Amino acid sequence: MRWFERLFTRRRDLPCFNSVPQHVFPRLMPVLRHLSDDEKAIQVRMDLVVPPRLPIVDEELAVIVGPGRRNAIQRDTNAPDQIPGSLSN
Amino acid sequence: MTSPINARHDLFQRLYFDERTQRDLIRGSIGTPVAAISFSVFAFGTLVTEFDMTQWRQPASIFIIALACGSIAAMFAAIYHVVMVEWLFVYYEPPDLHELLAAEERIRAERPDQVETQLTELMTASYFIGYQQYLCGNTVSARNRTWALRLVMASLLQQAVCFLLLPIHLAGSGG
Repeated sequence: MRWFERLFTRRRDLPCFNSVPQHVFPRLMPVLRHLSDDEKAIQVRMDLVVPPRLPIVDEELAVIVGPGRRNAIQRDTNAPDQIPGSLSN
Repeated sequence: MTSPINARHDLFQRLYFDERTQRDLIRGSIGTPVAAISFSVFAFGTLVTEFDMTQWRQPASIFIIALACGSIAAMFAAIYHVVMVEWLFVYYEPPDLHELLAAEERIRAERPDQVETQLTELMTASYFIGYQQYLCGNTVSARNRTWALRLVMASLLQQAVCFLLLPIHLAGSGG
C-alpha cells in the first residue's frame, strides 16, 4: 500500500524531494549561480567566517535544493539524472 | 539601546518576512484578472452568437470585428502576464539547523570570541540575500499583475463598445 500512502501524504522521502532531475538544471543553474555569487560577496563584505548558505525551493517542479546539493549541481555540469542526498545536503 | 548588529538583524528579518508575505499577496491578487478573463471569454460567446456574419461589410460590423480582434489580443496578452506572475519563481529559505550547527562549530574553532556576533551576522546576511531575491521576484511579478489587469480592462472595454454597437449592427441586418 506504499503507492497509496504516497498519494495522500507529503513526506521528505518523496522522490521529488530526494533527487534533482537533470531537466531542471537549465532552469535552476542561473538561480544557483546568482545565489552563490551573492553569498560569497556578502561573506567578504561582512567578514563572515562561514558564508550564508540558503536552501532554495522551486514550487513549480517541487524541487528542494540544499546548499550541499547545490554545490554538487554546480560542480558537476554533467551531473547524473538523480543526485542522491538528504534535504540538508 | 539596540546594538548595530541586532538592529541590522531585526531590520532584514522583518524585511525578509514582509517580502514573503508580499509574494503571497501578489499570488492571491491574480484572482481578479483571472476572473475577469473568464467573464470576458463568456461575453465573447454571446457576442459571436449575436453577430450576423452576412452583414460584415457594414461600418458598424467592421468596427465590431476590429474591436473584437483587439479585445482578443488584449485578453491573450493578459493571460500571458498572468502566467508570468508565477513563472520561474523560486523560494529562498533561511539556513536550516544542520547548516547553523556546522557554522557554529567552525566559528568556535576559528573565532571563539565572536560566536554570537558571527552567527547573528550570518542570519542577517541570509535574510538580506533572501529579501533581495524576493524583492526582485516580487517587483517583476507585480509588474506582470499590473499589466494583466490593465490588459483585461482594455479587453473588457473593447467588448463593451462591441456590445454597444451590436444593436446598430443588428438593425442594419434587419435582426
